[in-house]
Amino acid sequence: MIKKMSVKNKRDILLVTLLFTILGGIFILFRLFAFQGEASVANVYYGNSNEPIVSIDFVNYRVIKNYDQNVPNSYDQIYPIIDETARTITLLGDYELSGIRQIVVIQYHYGNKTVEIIQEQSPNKICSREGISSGWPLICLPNRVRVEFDTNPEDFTV
Amino acid sequence: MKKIFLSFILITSILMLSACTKPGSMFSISFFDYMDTFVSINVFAEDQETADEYKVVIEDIYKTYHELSNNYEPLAADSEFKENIYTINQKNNQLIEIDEALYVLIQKAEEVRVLTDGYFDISIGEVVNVWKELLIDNADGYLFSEVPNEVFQAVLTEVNLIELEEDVIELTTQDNRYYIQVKSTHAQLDLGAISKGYATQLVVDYLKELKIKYFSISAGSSSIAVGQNQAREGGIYNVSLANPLKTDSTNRTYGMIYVKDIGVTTSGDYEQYATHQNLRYHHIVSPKTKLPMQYYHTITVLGDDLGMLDAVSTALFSMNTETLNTWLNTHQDALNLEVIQFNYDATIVTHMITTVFEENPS
Repeated sequence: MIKKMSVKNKRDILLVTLLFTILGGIFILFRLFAFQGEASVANVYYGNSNEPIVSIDFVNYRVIKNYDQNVPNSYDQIYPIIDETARTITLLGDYELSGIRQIVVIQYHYGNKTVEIIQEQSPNKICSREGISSGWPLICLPNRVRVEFDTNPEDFTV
Repeated sequence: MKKIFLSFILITSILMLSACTKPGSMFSISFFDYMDTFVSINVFAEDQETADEYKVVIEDIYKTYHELSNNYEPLAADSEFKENIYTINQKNNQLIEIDEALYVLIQKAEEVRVLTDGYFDISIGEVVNVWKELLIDNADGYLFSEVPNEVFQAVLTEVNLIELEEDVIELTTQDNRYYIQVKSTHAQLDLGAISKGYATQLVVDYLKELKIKYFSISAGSSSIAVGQNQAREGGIYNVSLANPLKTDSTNRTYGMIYVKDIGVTTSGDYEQYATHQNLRYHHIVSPKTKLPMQYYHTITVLGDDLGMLDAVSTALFSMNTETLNTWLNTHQDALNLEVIQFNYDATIVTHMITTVFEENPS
């Protein structure tokens, strides 16, 4: 009876490990092949809006600010801040430290068509720990800032 | 069970490793300062340092032809070059020593003039200037607006007074020195329709010499050169064709071509034009009539040599359909050119060899 249980236990452990390996494999595959190299635009969103606040155009090498972020007057600054030299976009996130909302800094790279969150404040800092993305979305919570890649079917227009 | 488990680990790690061993990546290089054009280049390089080395060479190419083909100011006092188009235009009828680079470019332009039966001619600068002034003269240019009749008539009178002479450029060499003589009292040279494509072709030649397979060059909105696309299977680049009659953001383009290892140049009337009695007047002037012609809205030419494409698309733009067809019948195969016409009545006619053209669904 005891022997049987241990076999069952072993099988369970094996099954669980197998399951995790498969899931891990799928996850890695997804990250490797998601949009690989095909993305031509990365859109930055804030809050629940489906209108990108900033668009990074990897085809024509430009960053387009679509509209200003709606922030309270007490924040003495207009967001998003676009720095073409440092290649960064700065938004005001929702996460507060001592009652002050914290910034989220996104860095982009035209040649590699990549985006990275290089600065943020949040309990787990998940989105900055995601590293450089060339396809998978970067979602910063509780800052409610997200970056999603999109494709245009074209590479150039003449 | 163990075996399955192990093989899973193996497959996963192989997949991960195979993704990591790709040496090098695409780097971007861009310039704002040459030929009034934003040049943007994507090139495969081992690392940033190598890409920076490419950039130095490429920038030198664009800078060289920017300086040499400049027709509105002389060379800088400390320039390494002898003459540019501006200074040549001040010395009609004189024998002038020029740099080999400019000599070879002008020689090429003259070859295309002969090839296109005079429909491409760099010696009509005077006429081109009159039309350009009508469009973008600081004080009273009529860009995108209607030209009043009296202004239009004045331009026609001015243009008609200009006497164009044929075959005015004489190029000679002696003891490895290069000379030009513009045999006219007033003809003005203008390399605007060839120098950008020519310089871009030199960049392509340089990248090919280095055996770089993956690259793309976009020199302004009218001229591109591509190698292969690293990011897409088959190395294909999708190039959309700008709709010259666009009315809003939904009909920005009218079709798509799928290309690799090729150059594409478009000559069009849509980027800079003024209107008069429902016709567009633009900067591509026919050497035959001294007028901007209205046979097409755009002519797109595909081929191997961007300098040639730039000049040929300009020439074809001034040919009527019959002349264009006759010309293509004679030269298309030998030159390996493909042509897409967006006609004035918005119909599209293609003369393709292997490239796939798809018209947007309407």
